Amino acid sequence: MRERVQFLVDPAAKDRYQRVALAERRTLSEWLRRAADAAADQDPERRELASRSGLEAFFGHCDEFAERYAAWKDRRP
Amino acid sequence: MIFVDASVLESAIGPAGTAREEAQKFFLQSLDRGVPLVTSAVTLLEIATALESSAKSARSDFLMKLVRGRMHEVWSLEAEDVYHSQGLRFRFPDLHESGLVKLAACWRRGVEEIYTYDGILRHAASAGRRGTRVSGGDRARLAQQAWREMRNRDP
Repeated sequence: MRERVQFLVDPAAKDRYQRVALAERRTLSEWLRRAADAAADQDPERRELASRSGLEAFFGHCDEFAERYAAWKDRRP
Repeated sequence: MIFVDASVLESAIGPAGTAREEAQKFFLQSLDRGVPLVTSAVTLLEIATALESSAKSARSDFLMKLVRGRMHEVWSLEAEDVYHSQGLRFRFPDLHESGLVKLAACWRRGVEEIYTYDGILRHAASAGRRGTRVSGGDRARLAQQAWREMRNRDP
């Protein structure tokens, strides 16, 4: 899928990004997309769920809560 | 790119049952396959509204963690989505308002697959244009039934 996105940068920043992108043999938009993905990957929550074991552990917590919650509901008068 | 609907996100963090097993399996498989997952702010609002008030705090924490951790992108609701959704109303009269908006958003953005346990949305998406794929198979159908029961049980 290709979509046109517009965002504003000052000309100096655009030149700088363009040079870095060229050095990496990428188009400016490709380089910007990769940079945005790399920045998002720094998010601790994203990193935690980025592995199978991390995701399984997370679902384990959800399941544990669900079981405790169901038990609590059953005990309610 | 796969659009993940409220029913799947809600089931993955919800009570035990077929829907939960199926939804968690879907997330694990999509991680293994490296498929980018997307959803919409409309989906998150839909789940937040449906969560039981006594479990809302914990479950919405789980939901946000799953969304931040696994969703490649969460689409904002755009006026254009609502505009397009109104054009779909007569074609899919059984589809609820948020379903129309989600379907319009998926079609506008060229999504290849919609993963949902919502039978009406599944039907509309598969009957629609561009051959949008929807999740299939017996397990998904069982999950759909389990999700509907969960929604009925938890007011």
